[in-house]
Formats: sequence, C-alpha cells, structure tokens
Amino acid sequence: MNDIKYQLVLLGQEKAVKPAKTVRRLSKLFEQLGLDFAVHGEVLKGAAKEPEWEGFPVAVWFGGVGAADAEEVKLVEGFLARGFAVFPVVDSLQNYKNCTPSILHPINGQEFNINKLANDIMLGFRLSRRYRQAFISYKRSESAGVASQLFHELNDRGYRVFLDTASVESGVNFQNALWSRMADVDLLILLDTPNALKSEWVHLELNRAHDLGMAVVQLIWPNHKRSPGTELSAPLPLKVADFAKQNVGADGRLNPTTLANVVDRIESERIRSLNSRRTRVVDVLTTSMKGGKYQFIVHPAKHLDVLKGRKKVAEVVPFVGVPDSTAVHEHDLARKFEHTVVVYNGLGVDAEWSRHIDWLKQRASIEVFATDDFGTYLQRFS
Amino acid sequence: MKAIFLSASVPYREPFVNYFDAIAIRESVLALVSVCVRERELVFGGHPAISPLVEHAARSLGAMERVHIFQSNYFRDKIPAVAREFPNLHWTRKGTDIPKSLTIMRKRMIGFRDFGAAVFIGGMEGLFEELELFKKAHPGATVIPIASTGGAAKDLLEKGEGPQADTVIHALKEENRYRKLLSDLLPRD
Repeated sequence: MNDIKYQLVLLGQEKAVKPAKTVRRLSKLFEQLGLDFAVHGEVLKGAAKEPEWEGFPVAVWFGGVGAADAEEVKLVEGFLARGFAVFPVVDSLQNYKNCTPSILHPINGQEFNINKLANDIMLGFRLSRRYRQAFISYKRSESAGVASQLFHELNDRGYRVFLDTASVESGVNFQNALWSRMADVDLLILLDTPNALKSEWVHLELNRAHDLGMAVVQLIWPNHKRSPGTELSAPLPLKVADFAKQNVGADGRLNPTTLANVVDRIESERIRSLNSRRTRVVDVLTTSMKGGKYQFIVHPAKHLDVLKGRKKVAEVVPFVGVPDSTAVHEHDLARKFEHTVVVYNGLGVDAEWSRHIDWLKQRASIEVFATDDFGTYLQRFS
Repeated sequence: MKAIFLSASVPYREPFVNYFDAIAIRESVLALVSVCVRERELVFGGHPAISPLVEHAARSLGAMERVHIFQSNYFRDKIPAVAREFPNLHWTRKGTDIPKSLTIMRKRMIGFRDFGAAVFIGGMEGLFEELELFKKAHPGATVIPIASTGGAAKDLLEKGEGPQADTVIHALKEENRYRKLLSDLLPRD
C-alpha cells in the first residue's frame, strides 16, 4: 500500500503563473505543522494525471479569460461528485461567472489572495489543530515509552493526542460521551503488545473506531502475533532492531528512522480516514437522491447544499460521530438557511444514544437525521 | 426481495495479503449492510473482522433478525464472541478436517435461500470455492465482485467473473461510494 500524499490540483485558465507564491506559502504552513510539503504533498497541474481518489485531494481553479479546458472541467465534476473541495479563485468577483465554468457557479468563489488561499487549502486538507486528533491506545506496563514518544512526535506535527490507557487496562469501553465529542479524531493508534488488547475491548472500541470512519494503525510488537479482530487495521509489524538499544520493554523507545517511518505512515492513513468519512456522507446523499431530481454542491470544509432543479432546498451539515446537544446548538446558532439539517452516521448508535437523539430531535429547532433516514427528509420537497 | 449472499474476508496469506484495501473492505461491508437489511435478508459465513462490522451495522439499523450467520462446528471453541450476538446463528456439521468442514458449511449456507445476488469482498481462496458453489446453485443470480477491495474479489473480476459491461467493470474497480455502487448493481427482485 503506497503512502498517500496531500495532493493539490491546479486548474483553470490562470494556473500557469499564479500558484507559485501560494505553493511557497503552503510549504511554510506545512513546515509549521512539522510536515514537509515536498515529501507529504504533491502538486498536480491540469487534468493530465488524476489525483488519488482514495486520498483527500484539494483543487483550486484559477479563473480567467478564455475557454475552460474540457478535460479540466471533467476533473472538477469528478471532485464535486466525490465531495472534495474545489476553490474557485478569480481576480475580481464581479467577473466571477465570466471567468469560471458554469459547473463552479453555485460555489462561492474568492478573490485571489495568497495568504487566504493558502489557509483555505490547509483547511481543505483539514490541516489545523482542531482537525487533527489521534488516540493512542496502549497498556502502560508494556509500552509507556513508545506511547510517550509518539505522543510528543505527533504533538509536534500539530495533532491533539489523547492517550488511552483507561479503557485498555480495565477492558471497559471508553465512555460514550468522550467518544462522541471526539468528532474529529482521525486516527486510533494501537500499540499491540502481548497482553494489551483484550478481545472484548477490541470488539467494542475497534467497532466504534470503524463506525466513526477512523483509520486504525496498529504497531505490532516483535514476537507477538497480531491480536484477533484487528484485521482491518493498517499493520506495522515491529522488529527488535526497530527499538533503540533493542529494548522492547515498557520503557523502550523506537529508533529515529523507525519513528519517522511510523509517523509518515500515520499521516498517510489519516488522509485515508478523511476520505472515508467524506465519501460516506457523499455516498449516502447520492443514494438518497437517486432519480436525478436533486443534486448537491459541496462547499469546501463547510456544509453541502441540496438543490432541486436550480433551487436550494436544504443545507446539510454532516456530523462525524453522534451529535450531542452542544454540537446541535452550535450548528443551530451558525445556520443561515431555514432548512438546515444535521446529518450523522447512524451506524453504531446504541440504545442510550438513540434515546438521547430522540430527546434532542423533539427539542432542537434544527433537524437531526441519521444518514440512512435522509431520504425520508428529502421526500417532503417532492 | 430476495436474500443476498456475502462472501468476504480480510486476506492474510500470500499472495492476497499484498493487494487488499482494509478501508475499502470495511466501507463496502458497512454499505452492503445499510443498503440491504431493511428490505431483505443477508447471509454470510462468520469471520473475526467481518462479523463485528455486520453485527454493529445491523443492530443499529434494527435489523438483526434479517441477518443469518453460518459457523462450522469445527471451530466451535474458537468463534469470536460477537457471532453469538446474532439471533440467527447456524452451526454446520464438522468434517474430518478444516477444508472439508468449510465445504460443508459453504454448501449449506449457499443452499439456504433463493439468493438474488452474491457480493464478493476482499478474501482469499475460499471466495473462489464459494463462487463456484454459488453459480451452480443459483445460475441466474447476479455476481458482484467488488474488485476495489482487492484480494480474491479483484482476481475474480480479472478472471472475467461477474458483470461484463465496461462501465460496471470500471465501477467495480474504482468506485468507493459503495452504497451507490451496490444500490445500482443489486437486483430489484
């Protein structure tokens, strides 16, 4: 499995010259996160090469005079159909519709500004601390050293890192409340040491991770067979040589090369996780909107518009995990459109959360739907 | 509507282990359960990574009674706890060894319903046997090898099994919007 990168796709009539300074600014922002754009990122110009659709690519359309390249327009269609961000950029918003292909007209364009664009691209990659969170699950008496090492390394890369020993130690599942607030946790990193992962824990917590569309990266200790039930994680088998001074005990630490490889792999799996979540939302919308009456427009890093013909009928805010009253309140305060709907992934909602959501639905002024029920919501517009 | 047969596993042996996509396997299994279980039955053979996904999704959709899980008595002591959460857990008789026990299980499972389609995800050689048994028992049914998940499913599509139309073959290799894919390909009967 090759490492996936943060791919920036440059399109549009003005893509030849304008981007250079933006890419330089982007590289600086990457550096601030401990990432190296030359290694972790990639620039694709035009439509000659398709981006990795399993990744989380971001496209920028530098609009201008002249006809839009048909292949590039087709690529934009591909981006939008998959729910990936396309940022249309022009010199003057007054000329927006003349400088961009019609497929981009429903999206709010912006006037070209290097810093704003670079920041928006970072947002498009969801590369800001708020959007970079990881759990490390481990058994203290077997891998405290590596857990701490990863904690610091990921912190330096702009992640908020949550160390989880509690649930692993006791085999009791992580409190529902904590998990559901971790709406933007991208990754679960498992330190699979000989006695760490009890099967009930694996069953409960891993399922929750999979429900939330998280990527699961599993470091497997030397001379230890992968714990059963973890087959869907990205395995990183470790050898004794990967540890400094060959110390694989609780205070052992990974040597610098291994650590760098592990973190690079973590970054790549994070991108897959973002893709997985985005695709789930888009997938559900596409299937509930079968029959061609409706279309949707994705606004980068924000909500989605549902259109019937050319008229906007609903604004959808996809929510990762199970929404709680705080989150719904936030979205209610922020909404600008009458028919705003919070849509959450209903798989994995247990009885307790189900009751909470029913309570919420009766009281909130904003509507809340499980993704599988979204089709029912749409019927009221037919 | 007719029942659907799911043939899936996560590869761990050569050569399959070198070309599978765990996230694709996860997403396609979850998508299949979502698209299926409110309207039809889903039948599959238990597997430590697949069974929990099916259970979790089916339970949240309130459709556990529509899922049928098959396990061989040969592995009675070894099956993951989650298998026992299914109200419809079918034990099949054990044979003299593992391969024979699995064949017995597969025959019973594949003969269990008049299936509308079989969906193949990831997997190793077992999928090949299940496909052959399925084609014999249900010659008119749709075969859907989701090649993007890798493993034996990819091999099956490459060998020419399943749909023949170019656009569908392309989708089976590239499309990761699995609900859309499955809702387009599953037969409506």
